[in-house]
Amino acid sequence: MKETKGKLLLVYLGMLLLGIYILAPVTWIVMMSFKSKIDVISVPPKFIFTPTFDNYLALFGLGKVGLLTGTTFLSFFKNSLILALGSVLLSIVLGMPAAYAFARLRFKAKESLAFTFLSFRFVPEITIILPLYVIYQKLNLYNTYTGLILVYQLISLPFIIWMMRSYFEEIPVAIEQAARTDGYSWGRTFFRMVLPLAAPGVAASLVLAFIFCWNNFIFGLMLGGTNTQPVTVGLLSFMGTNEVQWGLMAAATVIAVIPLMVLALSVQRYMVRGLTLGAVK
Amino acid sequence: MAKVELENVHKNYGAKEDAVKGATFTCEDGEFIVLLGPSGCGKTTTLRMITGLESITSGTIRLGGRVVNNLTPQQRNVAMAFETYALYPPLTVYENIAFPLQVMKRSKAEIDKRVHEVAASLSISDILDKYPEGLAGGQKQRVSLARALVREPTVFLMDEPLSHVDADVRYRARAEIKHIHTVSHATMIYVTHDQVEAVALADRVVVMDLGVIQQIGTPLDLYYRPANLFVAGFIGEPPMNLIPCNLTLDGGMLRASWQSRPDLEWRYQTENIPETALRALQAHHNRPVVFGVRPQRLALRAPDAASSDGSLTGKLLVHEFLGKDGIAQAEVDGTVLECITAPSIPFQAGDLVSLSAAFEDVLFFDPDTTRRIEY
Amino acid sequence: MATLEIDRISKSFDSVQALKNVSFDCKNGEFLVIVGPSGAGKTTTLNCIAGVEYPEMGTVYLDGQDVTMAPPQDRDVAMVFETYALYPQFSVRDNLIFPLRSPRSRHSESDIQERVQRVSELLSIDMLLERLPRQLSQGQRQRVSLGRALVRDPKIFLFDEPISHLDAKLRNSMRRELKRMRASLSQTTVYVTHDYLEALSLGDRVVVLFQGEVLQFDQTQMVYNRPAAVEVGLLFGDPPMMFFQGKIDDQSHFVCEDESFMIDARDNAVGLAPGQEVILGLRPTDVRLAPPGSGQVQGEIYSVQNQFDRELVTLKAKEQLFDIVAPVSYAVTEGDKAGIIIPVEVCYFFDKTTHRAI
Repeated sequence: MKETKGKLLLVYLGMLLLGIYILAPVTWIVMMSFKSKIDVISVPPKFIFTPTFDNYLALFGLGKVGLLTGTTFLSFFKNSLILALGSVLLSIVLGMPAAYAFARLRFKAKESLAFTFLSFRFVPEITIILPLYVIYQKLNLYNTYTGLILVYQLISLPFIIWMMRSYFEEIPVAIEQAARTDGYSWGRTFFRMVLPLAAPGVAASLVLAFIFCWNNFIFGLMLGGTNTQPVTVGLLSFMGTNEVQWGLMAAATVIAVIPLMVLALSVQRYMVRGLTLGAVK
Repeated sequence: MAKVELENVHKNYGAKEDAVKGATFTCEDGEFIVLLGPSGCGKTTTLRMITGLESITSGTIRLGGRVVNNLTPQQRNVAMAFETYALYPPLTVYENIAFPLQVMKRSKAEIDKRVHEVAASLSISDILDKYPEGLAGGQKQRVSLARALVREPTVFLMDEPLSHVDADVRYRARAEIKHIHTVSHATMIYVTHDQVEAVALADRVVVMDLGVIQQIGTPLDLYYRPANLFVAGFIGEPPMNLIPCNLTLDGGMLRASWQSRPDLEWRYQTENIPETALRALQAHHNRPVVFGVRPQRLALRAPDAASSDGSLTGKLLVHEFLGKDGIAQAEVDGTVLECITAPSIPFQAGDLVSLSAAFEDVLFFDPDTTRRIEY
Repeated sequence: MATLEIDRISKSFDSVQALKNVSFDCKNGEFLVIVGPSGAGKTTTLNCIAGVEYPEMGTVYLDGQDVTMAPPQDRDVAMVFETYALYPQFSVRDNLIFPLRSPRSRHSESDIQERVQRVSELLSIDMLLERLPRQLSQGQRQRVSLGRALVRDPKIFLFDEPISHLDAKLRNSMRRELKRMRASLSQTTVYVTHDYLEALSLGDRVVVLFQGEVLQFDQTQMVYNRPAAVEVGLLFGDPPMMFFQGKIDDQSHFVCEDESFMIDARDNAVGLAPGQEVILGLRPTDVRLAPPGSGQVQGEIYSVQNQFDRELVTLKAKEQLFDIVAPVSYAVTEGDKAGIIIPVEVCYFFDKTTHRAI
């Protein structure tokens, strides 16, 4: 028993260190967002200060600290939502049938095709951004939601296809065959049997794809204008030529991260696999 | 090789119940013992305690007379057989067998002598220069065994080594193990859940259930003289027919009348029953017993007009043709009795048949203790 | 209730031909068993009947109608899968109800409840109706999957190795239970297995598949007593049939290729020509152990395995191993000398090149 207690102590210590490592930057940003302009830049950094909501109020166009650009922070936030949601929606419509086909059907060059989709993820975005910029200017896609959602498919589509393929493959094909011989058409089988069984996987891949889209920076920067730029790019506007508004940036970061946190926590329980195992093994 | 002794060995994993409850048995030098039981019966735990991979909660384990309770597997010098043979592919058969001795820093001459001795005893002298890759399964098994035997282990331990061998060659793999045991005189302890494997290989079988040893005996002991109802039901295929009855012994007649329908009874004239059996059964006069008869010993005949010793009339439900023999299932008062028959029988499903068992093929069990009434 | 006819179906996967001109039929109410080693094409054949796969050539007739390309839901077949394929998110009750609520079946609510009740009692799973599949034991899952097929009145039942995942003891007792159940049901059934005991026990007729080809399609007893090919003999029997290559000499004797033994085949020589190269098949249950000096084969006992009331004796003669099933009373031990008596009427002769029975 002594031995196990000692072990437990070590485990807790390790977890504590890991927790500090992960949470320190987050704590720092949150603290910064509640500091006044002077407290933010004070050296050595202050751990005890009078918290202020000025930064948050300013982000929404209220309060006394002014924004550098004419647009409000809220519009960046809205852009991010539209872009990420739109991209994921398009990816699911295109990607789910593709993933099912890769998982279940036999056709020529299946693996090569699947790999081609995955390879989109290998190419650094920076290498294609200039030609894309030219093409987008010509096609009038520059600074449009449509244009950005299309280019975001490079991020979300391969991801969704590969994640969902493996979730579909985990569902034993015999369950589908059973439902078919039990008198259900392919469509009904898919929506009544396959999709509910894959639901945790679908939810998980959707959220992860959403997060990847939300976090993207370079596409928004190069192919979006002031009307369409997402939060990640918007943060840049707090950096002026002669002043960086650290407090505002921190507050904006906190707000930008909140949707991700909520999403990640809400699907945490769906990440648990093994729902299908009991019936077949 | 050495004698293995277990004395009141317990294992507790922290639960209320012990996983192994007082295992006591002896495996003589050169004997082949098989631990048999359903999954979770404690057989693998027992083997692991002998190996030293698992500590023992209480009791004593002796290898060759030496108490080894607190020794590591290396110190116990036991050999474990691996399912995959675990031969080293870049080494020849000779080098594979020599390897454990080289690790022990033995002299070249001694190594050479030992390798050739062991190889000769397992008839693999002619393949010493070959590499494992080109060997047949049986040869690999011998090489793997030779490598274990060369360092003269105290005991050879095997945990379901044939579970991944295809069913159609398993009987040959068993023949190989059995043959190797005969020529090597190794002490072997073998774990399996498969009764066919157990009786095929063992000199004696240790039957376990729920952490308790149920019976230790030769395959024929288990089959003809099962110690209790568990062994009777577990050993044999199909399982023994067991019927709850009430026993009476008077008027020159032994009657086992069915508890579900007292007018159904197995009757035997006491004049044909040995004295010892009568005396043992007398103690159960007017008491419940479980009547047991193996399907191999229950004869299926045309219904007799006059009921003779030990027979009942039933209705034939189905008969299975199984090639070399057949199994008939007959119903008596809602109870299905099974009997082994010839491949085909002159009866149809639905026919009335007589089911009879000679007294010497019948076993009686005490339902309170579940033990067989011995005589 | 229906008839089934499979007419020369073929199918291949990635250049491997899984089925080659497979033909057989199944009469109304017949229990047909397809047996073969793994990879023989058994499941593919069954899938083509169910409609979850389609043959590249050939025709499947159900009740006289060509259903070769019909989707599974239009065929009205019930299938029991090797992996059980229970719906994991449904309770046992809902698993049983699922086929009864399909768009194609019309059952009143009271009829559905009554069927579920009847089938779950028949299979002794009525205490488990509210459980989820993952809360069941192997044997119970297998019963539920049987139940899901039995609640319907399909044209035909398809069983894909339904009990091969169970351990030996449970498998044997399930087989006997299926045999009993079979006596009270009369649906047309196609049953796939690799276990010859299931085939012999359950089948009215048996199709033996090997590497995508039908080797024998016959009455059950004929498949055991008159195997049409080496592979059929190998499949039916435990321990399996032994095979020896050899030649027929001028006196109609079979001479083993290493000349370790010969058998006077004059009384069983129909179709055998002098000089013909043949394969001799012998069942370990058909040959007898004899004292040294008698019988056609002389050798040394290699190992003795107890089989309760019998013994499986392996005898080594020159480099050949012989298996003999002997009564336990015939006490021999390793190293003893012994002979084997091979009655000529138990010899099966096969052609050396085609592997077909002579």
